[in-house]
Amino acid sequence: MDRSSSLLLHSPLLLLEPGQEQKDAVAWPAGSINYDQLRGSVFRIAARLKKSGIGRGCRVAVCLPKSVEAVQTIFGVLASGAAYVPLAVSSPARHVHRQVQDAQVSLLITTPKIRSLLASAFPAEDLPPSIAVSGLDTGHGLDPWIGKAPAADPPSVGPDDQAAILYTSGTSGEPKGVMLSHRNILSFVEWAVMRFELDPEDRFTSHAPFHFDLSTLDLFASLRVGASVFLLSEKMALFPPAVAQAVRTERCSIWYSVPTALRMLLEHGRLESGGLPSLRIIFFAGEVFPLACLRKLMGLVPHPRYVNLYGPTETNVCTYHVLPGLPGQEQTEIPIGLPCEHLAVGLRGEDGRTPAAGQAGEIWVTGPSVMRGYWRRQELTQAVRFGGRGDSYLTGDFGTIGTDGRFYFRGRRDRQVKIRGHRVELSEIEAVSASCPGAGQAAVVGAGLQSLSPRLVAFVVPALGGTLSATALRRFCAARLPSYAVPSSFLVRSELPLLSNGKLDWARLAEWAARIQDE
Amino acid sequence: MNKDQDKIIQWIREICHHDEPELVLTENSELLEEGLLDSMKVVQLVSLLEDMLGRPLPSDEVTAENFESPKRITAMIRRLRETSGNPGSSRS
Repeated sequence: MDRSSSLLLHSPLLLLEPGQEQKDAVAWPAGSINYDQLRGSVFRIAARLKKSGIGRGCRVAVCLPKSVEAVQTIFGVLASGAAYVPLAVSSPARHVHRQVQDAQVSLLITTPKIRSLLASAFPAEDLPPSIAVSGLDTGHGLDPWIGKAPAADPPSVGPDDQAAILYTSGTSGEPKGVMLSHRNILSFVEWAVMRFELDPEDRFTSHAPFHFDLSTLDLFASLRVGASVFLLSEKMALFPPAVAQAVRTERCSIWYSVPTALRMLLEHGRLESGGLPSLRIIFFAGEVFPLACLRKLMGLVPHPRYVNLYGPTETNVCTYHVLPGLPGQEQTEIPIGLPCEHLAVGLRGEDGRTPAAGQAGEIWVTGPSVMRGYWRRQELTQAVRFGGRGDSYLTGDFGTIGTDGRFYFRGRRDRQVKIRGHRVELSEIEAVSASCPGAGQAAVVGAGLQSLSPRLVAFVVPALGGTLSATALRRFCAARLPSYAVPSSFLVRSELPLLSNGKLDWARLAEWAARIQDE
Repeated sequence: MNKDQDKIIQWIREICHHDEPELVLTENSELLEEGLLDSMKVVQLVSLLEDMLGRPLPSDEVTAENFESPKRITAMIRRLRETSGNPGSSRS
C-alpha cells in the first residue's frame, strides 16, 4: 500500500512494463487502442493543455459521451496537472452551465452539439473557452485539436493535489462538487486491487458514466494493474441484450454497476443459465439490491463472486460484503459488510456516542479516501467533518452492526418522513412492498408532507413474469406495517424512471406522486 | 409498410408523452442521440414491437443501431417480417 503514497492516477502510463505497450488499454465495440497509443495521446493532450496555460491548480470540464476520446481526455487532463470535472452529457444545458460556472473551469471539452446548445442559451462571457470534439469512438477524435504537440515534461504535481471534482445531485438542488485528490482515488484503487486480486489479465467493463464515482474503479484500477477496460456506451447500455453480448464476446471479467443495471440485464438481457461465463467478479453499489432479483441473478449466473459495495461519493467505497452464496429464502437483507481495510468506519448515536450493540447510528468514515472537501463550500464541508479531522465524513446514512459484526444499511437521514406524528423510514416500506409475492422492486415517496394530508405513494415493479395488483400489495403491507406506514396509493409500473447514473430518479417519482389524487 | 412506421411513431409519442408532451417526431428523429428513449422506454417499445411482430425480437436485433430512428426501427421490423415468411401478421 506504500506505493500509492507517491503515485498519481496517470503514473502507470509513465511506468509501462516491457511488452505492455502492445496490449489493449481501452476497447469499445468498434475498436481498441493499446497502451502505447494511449500513452502517446495522453501526453500530447497534456502538452496541448500546457500550451494553453492549463496545469496544476486548474480544472477542465469533460462533457463527452462514453468514448475512448473521453478516457484519453480525462488522463490527459490529469497528466497536465489539472483536475478533471466530468459532466453528464444528458444534462440540460442549464445544468452544464451551472456546473462549469461553479467549478470555475479553464476549459470545457465537449461535443459540437452541446457547445452550440450552450452558446445559444448563454452569453459568451458566461461560458468558459471550449473545445468541440467530433469523430468520437475512432481513437482519433482529438487529433485535430492536439495536433502534433510533443509530449510535455511531467508537471510537478503531488498525490494531494486535486484530481477530480465529482458533482453529486444533492437533494436541495444546489450542485455540490466533491473534491478528490490523486491519493483519495488511488487509496480506494489500491485497496480494491489488493482485496480482489485484480490483475493484468482482467478486462474491466465500464458501465457507470464518468461523472459517477463507480467509474473510478473501471478507469483507474484497470490502468493501475495494466489490464484493459471495455467501454459500454450510454446508448448501448439501453439495450441489455447488446450489453450481454458484448460482455460475452469481449470476455469481460469485472463488472461494476448499480443494481438497476444488473436487474435490466437479468430481466431483458436474455441471459441463459450459466451465461456470461467470463465474469469473475460482479460488484454492485449505489442502491439496495432487491433480494428476490439478486437471488435470481445469482441462480442464473452462479460463477462470479458477488460483492456488495457501500460508500458515498465523498468517501468512495467504505464497506464491502462478499456474498458467501445464494441468500437463503429466510434472509431479508444482505449486509453492506465490513470496513475496507484502508479506512475506519463506525456508528454514532444522536448524542455523539457509539450506540449500544444492535442500535442504529449514523455511519462515519475516516481515512485516506475521504474527500478533501466540497468545492467552494467550506461551511458545508465543516458540517460533515467530526473530531477536527480533515479526513473524516459523517455520511447521513444510518446503519446497525449485526451480531455477525457486519454493517447493515438502515436508510438515509433524509429518507425519514413524519406521517401523523410518526417517524417513518421509507426504505423499510420499500423492503416490505418489494417482498410481496410477485413484486420485484419498490420505491416509496411522500407527497404533500407539509400539508394537512401527508401520504405515502408506493411505485412497485412486478418481478419478471410476476403478477401484481394494488389490492394484493395493500393487503400484504397492511399485515406487516403499522397503519400509518401503509402507503395510501400503490401504483404498479413496468419500470421506474432512472437518472443518467442509473440510480432511481426520486425527483420524478415525487412529481408523479404529487399528481396522484387520494384514492 | 408506412402504416407500420406511423404506428411506431405513434407509440413512441405515447411512451414519451409524460415527459415530452410537445414532442414532434418524424421518421428521421434521432431517438437515442436526442435522449428521447431511456432504458424503461426502450423496454416498453420492445414489447410493443414484439406484439406487432407476433414473436420476440431476436437478441442481436435489440441494438442501438436498430433503434436510432423510427425509420431504422421500421426497417428492422420489415426485415424480420420477411425472414419469418409471414407477411400476414401486419394486418390489423
